Amino acid sequence: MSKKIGSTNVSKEVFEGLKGFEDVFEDYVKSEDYKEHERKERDNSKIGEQYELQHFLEQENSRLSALEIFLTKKIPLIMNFSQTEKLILIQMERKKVLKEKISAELIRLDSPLQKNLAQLMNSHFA
Amino acid sequence: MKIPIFEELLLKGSSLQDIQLVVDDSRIGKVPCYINLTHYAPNDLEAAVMNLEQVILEAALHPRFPYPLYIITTKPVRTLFPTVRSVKELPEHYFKKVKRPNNKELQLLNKLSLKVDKIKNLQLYKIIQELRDSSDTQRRLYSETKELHFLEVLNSALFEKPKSKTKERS
Repeated sequence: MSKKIGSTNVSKEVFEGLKGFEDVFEDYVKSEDYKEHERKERDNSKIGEQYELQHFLEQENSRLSALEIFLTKKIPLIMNFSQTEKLILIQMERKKVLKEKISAELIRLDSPLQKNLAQLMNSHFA
Repeated sequence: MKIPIFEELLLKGSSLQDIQLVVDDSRIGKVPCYINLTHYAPNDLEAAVMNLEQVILEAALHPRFPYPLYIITTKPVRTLFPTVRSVKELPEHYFKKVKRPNNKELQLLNKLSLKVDKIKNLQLYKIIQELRDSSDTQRRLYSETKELHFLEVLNSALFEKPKSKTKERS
């Protein structure tokens, strides 16, 4: 069960902890300082709500601008001037050269791979 | 234009005519929408989703752009629409308090409506299909590059002498 100090709800435990200070709090709640503080808080929350919608609409504007650029500029650019196929060809050429070079090295009888394989086989089947 | 916050579309049935009526009266594409089909039986659900897809295609609307149309269902269903299991799983971004917009917000809404119309007028299905097609070659390039990287690492391990040893020798 909560109790009210001014316009603020305070839990029972907190209220019990404040025992002996009731008069001080009552004076403070009735004071101009407290009313001023509450008024400021109300104004601040109103301003926050006011700018929430504006911020949301600005975010939506920038999101839709980015989406529009993506759909109207970036995708057509990729479709008309795609580099992908050319890059794949270059990669394949380079792969072919490397494969030939590596396989030539690996199939030599005195290559480290052949030696290691021979050692492995000998140790298991000797 | 209305503030782009979630609107729920209420279907009266899963028939084509019922769905046509709802889609005609709705603001699909102009604001984010959702249809709750959690209480539908599996057969009705499939029929409703199929009819909805047909109506949306005929109306030249897109299920995702500019604003998405979500289907809420707990049963698995194959569809063009984004699906979620409950209202709570919908993006919170589009849940906002309804309030009267001020002048500045109205200006932003007008700008927004122009952009929405511009995106709606694009050939969205064609563009998205082109994007999908280009993604296949991009994936091929990725796998080729990955294989080439492996071969280059192997090549450097086999043929390039480690730097520390060369330093010691020199």
